Amino acid sequence: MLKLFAKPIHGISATCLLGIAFLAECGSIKPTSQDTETKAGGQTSVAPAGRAVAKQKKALVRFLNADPGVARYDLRFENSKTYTHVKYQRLTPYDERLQHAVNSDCERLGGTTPSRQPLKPDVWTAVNGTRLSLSVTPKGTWL
Amino acid sequence: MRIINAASNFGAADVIRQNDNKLWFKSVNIATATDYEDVDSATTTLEVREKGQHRAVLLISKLNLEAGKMYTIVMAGGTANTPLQAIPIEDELTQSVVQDL
Repeated sequence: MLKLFAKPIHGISATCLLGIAFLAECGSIKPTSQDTETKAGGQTSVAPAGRAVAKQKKALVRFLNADPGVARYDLRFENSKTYTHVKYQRLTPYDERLQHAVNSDCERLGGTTPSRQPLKPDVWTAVNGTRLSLSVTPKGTWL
Repeated sequence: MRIINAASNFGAADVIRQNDNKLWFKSVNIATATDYEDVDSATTTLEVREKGQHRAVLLISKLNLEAGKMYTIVMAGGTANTPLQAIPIEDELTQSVVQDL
């Protein structure tokens, strides 16, 4: 299912610590054979069936900004900006990502303390075709 | 339904169905997600309480839970500037457009 590898964080001030929760969705043990329709924040999105994604050796990833500050977030995987300017309470649609993602990081935009910092863990592996939700919060523990 | 506690200034949370005081989720810690639990399909109001307390700190009113759908309630906020809030997410498996061969 989901395997996480922790690495230490460097140079992050206490005031801008992020809490990143990597949360594997229920039902993700077996890739679904049906599409998934998601409604959140008044928006609707559709993700392809897990089995179809698995054939491409990819997983489905989405991102939720649960940080109530003024900041917006950019999220990168392997220096590729995947999500940009994600506002508080905004859930992105599922995105097809390679099974392995490394050097992922998150950029806090706006506010008084914009910063860029690595997610922790910053290397993760998800089984082909499964779904993964990432949530960012202002501070706290890391999973 | 499942609960994600992303309210970093809030402690562990209990989630209770208001009309019968039934405990649906117990002691959901910060930065954790519960497993999905089967719940009754109905329009319902949920109370979020601090673990073991009897006073609701957040009401999730008139939540329309439909059969066969998956619901995620993300607890967020709870800071000096932002009240504790619930971010509801509704997922539903639909007919696949692409047929498996």
